[in-house]
Amino acid sequence: MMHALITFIHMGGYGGYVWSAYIIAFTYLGIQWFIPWRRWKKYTRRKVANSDNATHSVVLNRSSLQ
Amino acid sequence: MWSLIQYLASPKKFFVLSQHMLPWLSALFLGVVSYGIIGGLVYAPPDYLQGDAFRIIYIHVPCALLSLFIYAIMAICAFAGLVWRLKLAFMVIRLSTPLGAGFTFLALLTGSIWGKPMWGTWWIWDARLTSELILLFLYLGLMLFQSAIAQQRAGERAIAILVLVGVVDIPIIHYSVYWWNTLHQGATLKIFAPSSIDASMLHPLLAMIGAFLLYYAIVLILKMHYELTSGFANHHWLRNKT
Repeated sequence: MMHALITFIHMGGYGGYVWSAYIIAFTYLGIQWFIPWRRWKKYTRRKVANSDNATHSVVLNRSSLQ
Repeated sequence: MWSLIQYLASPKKFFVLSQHMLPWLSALFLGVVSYGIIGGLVYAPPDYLQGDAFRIIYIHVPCALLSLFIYAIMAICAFAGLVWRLKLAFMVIRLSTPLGAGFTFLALLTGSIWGKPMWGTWWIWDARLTSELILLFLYLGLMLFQSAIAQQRAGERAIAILVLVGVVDIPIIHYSVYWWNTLHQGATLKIFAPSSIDASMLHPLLAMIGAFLLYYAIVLILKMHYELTSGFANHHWLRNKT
């Protein structure tokens, strides 16, 4: 099992080249996806928070009028 | 076809459709990329000449293909934006440019990493590599131009014209291995002829290409959602969608 794993990582002597290419590529892909996804999530959270505040202030205003 | 284009060109309809499609695209992407990675790294046999170093193909070829595909999409959007004045078309160009630049850079970088053990050099002024480098400069130029133009409307049209001028590089990149005597190998994938690699290597490669295309669609949709919500924030169709 360990020997198979070491052989897999070694990649016939080309492990350094192969794994560096994969790591760089997937790091870039991960960052490129994460940035717009996080921005979208922040925007939707802010929107929900703003609509909650607006609802809360409407409720407060109505209760103060009564 | 025209009704489909009209449907997708509407910001409201595109927003609703893409919101529904996004989870499915993400699930499909995860499935396809898993198949491609496992097939390419584990089940595909080592190449008779290159050994295990050939496995960089499962990153390099999809990146290179995406760099050309994204520019082709931008060129189509540039034409649609100039002729039919579609706002979404200009948005796609603006948001796709950094993605295309990133994939072009990755294609050159992974190609360089692959070239060192195989060709004995990190870089060579080969027709394919040089034309791909020119594509990277085109993308970078578009990004700089976008940030430099203050007036959005005039800038969008100028950028679209620039994209259409630069599209001449795409067939040059593709046919460079046939027109010139290059170190870069010829096309592995062929549309009208059998591919030059075995099926056990081909299927994971096709899966990775599909995964990268899905990835581009997902990231573009995420970016467009944010642009649409910030640009059309007060429109009635958007108020209840987020």
